[in-house]
Amino acid sequence: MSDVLVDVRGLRTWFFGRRWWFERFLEREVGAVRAIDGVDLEIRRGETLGLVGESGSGKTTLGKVILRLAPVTEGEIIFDGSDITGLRGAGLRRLRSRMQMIFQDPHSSLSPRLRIAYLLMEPYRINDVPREERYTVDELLEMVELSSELASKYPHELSGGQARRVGIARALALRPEFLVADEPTAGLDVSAGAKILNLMRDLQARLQLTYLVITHNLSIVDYVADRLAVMYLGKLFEVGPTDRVLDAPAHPYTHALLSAVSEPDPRLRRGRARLLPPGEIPSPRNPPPGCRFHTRCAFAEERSRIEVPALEEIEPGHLVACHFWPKVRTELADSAARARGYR
Amino acid sequence: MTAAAEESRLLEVEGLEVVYHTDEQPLPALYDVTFSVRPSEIVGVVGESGCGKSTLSAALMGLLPPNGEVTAGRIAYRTEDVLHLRPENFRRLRGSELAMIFQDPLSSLNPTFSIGAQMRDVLRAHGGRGDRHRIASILERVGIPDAQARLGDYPHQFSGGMRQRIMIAMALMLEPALIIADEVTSALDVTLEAQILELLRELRDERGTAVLFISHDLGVVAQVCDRVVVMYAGRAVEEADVYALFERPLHPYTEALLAAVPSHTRRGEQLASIPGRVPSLSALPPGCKFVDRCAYAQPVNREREPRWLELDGRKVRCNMYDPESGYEGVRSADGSPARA
Repeated sequence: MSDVLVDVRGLRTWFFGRRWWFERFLEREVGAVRAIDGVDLEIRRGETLGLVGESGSGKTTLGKVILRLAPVTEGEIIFDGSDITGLRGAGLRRLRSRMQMIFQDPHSSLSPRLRIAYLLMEPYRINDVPREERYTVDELLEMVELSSELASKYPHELSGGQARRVGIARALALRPEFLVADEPTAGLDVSAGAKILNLMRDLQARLQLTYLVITHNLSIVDYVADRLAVMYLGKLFEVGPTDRVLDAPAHPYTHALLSAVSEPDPRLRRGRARLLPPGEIPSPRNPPPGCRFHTRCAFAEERSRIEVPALEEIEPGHLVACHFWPKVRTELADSAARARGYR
Repeated sequence: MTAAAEESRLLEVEGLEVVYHTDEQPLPALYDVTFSVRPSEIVGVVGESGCGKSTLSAALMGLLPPNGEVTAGRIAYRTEDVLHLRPENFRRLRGSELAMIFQDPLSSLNPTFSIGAQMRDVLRAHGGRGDRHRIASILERVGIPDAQARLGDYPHQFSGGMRQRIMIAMALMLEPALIIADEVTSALDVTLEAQILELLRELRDERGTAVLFISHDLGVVAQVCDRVVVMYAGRAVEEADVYALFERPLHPYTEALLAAVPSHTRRGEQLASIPGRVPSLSALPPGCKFVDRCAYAQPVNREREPRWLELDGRKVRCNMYDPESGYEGVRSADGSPARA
């Protein structure tokens, strides 16, 4: 059995407006929204991979494409050794039971008119799972540490944290190996968020799950992820073990993200020393040529405007897409140490 | 209180109580809330959802919903009692002295008018002239590039971060002495959040604008505030200088909140979560409201509502620090930290 569970190769997902075919043809060059624009990524069996980036970076689309919930324009997705890029019908349905998504907004992903018990059994009905292979409602609720009294309630009667747990239970019903969690703690209070992260960790150990955790919150991935991928405008800028990426980041964008984190420690106030990239993320409809970050980057030179930097391995397992990474790393070493606080 | 001390308080809230009337029973949303904001000070109010943060900001702005009533206490703005102000006088105060930045800019801006027109209306409503240059210069100040050319744009043409800046610009237009910022960064990415926090700090440094910063995010509060009030179940449970609070929280709730924040130093460990849930306002326990979730609770806490105590320049609402409470092994603020 290979170590790699999900292997994404040369993936592109472009969204086209509703146009005539010839307009669409023209748009390929200029007007398409390039949500994912050439991504290579491996997710290893049993690990938690954190995918971080600002809104508009394409991180949620990437998660959905891997689950075949969003279209592929180019490239391939290999899941557990087989190419799933073109899978349809029954084959796709079988695949779906092995990979599931925990959605960002649990209340909008649970039908308000159905009771929790019904919602939990829904995956079995859709997939025609024989009774002996099903978990019972109580087992599912117990798995996510909810009381069995909730079975007869409706989604609006649940708190945010409880609804999130029901979402997780639904994702687990079909005994998947791979879960994509999109902003698992968004909208939750600190302590409810902590409980969800703890639960996800326990479930991973118990059920041998592999996670892709999508978030803009670096402190969450710092806590849960084994490896980290940093995404910007449809491309990966840095991939590697969490410790290496956060302790010794080699991409200026990773530095900028790190310096923007609000640490819960007033001694770590950064004031003007933050490395904020000026302006906002450009439109994926018209991404800058060359390195996509050059419009906001302090290290950009003529070369960045022309040549697209490739992901290169700078130390075992640590990949960076920047022409000037050695310079970035030495010049920003102090700030990286400060950004991570007093370890 | 001496005249000088009065003078140095911009906003003073004393023993504030707010009740929401419902068909079944009145719900006590705020109880005995006391704190103050001095000029050019950034004061944070933190707590989980349902702790009364938003009720507090609504009460301060005189914007409580019709079923909300202030049943006790005092809100004074520059020694003027705001609670008994006539509506038209309160309206004058809002905007020119007190301004609020709301959580969700898209629902607070009118989608059918241009940004320039909406800002001009604010100026005119307060007797100013809606002059384009002035509006554009305020927008540039909060970091909207090429503002002059964008005055005719509508809210949907701006990104989320830009809209939040526009909200801040509108709050600043009349140069208020105090801004109430309610969860202003919770919908933003970390990079934009950092920019907005920096902007608020700069405004304080340049103009001496005081800010009451309401948030559930301890990280953000640690970055921007001078002083912090922690709220739980409608009560202020702790107030301290930001450094003191994060260094050594006194109240068990503050301690538990801080322990629940995920970060690299805790990887692989179980995050400390607080057992149970915030009690519902319709079924508050009689004594300490945190008693069911507290690691240090003793039987006395079930009966005795803790007092708002002053200890070494800090304040805390907890029987554990009150010699009169009958709590066994009462602690002092400078003594052993609140750990079992």
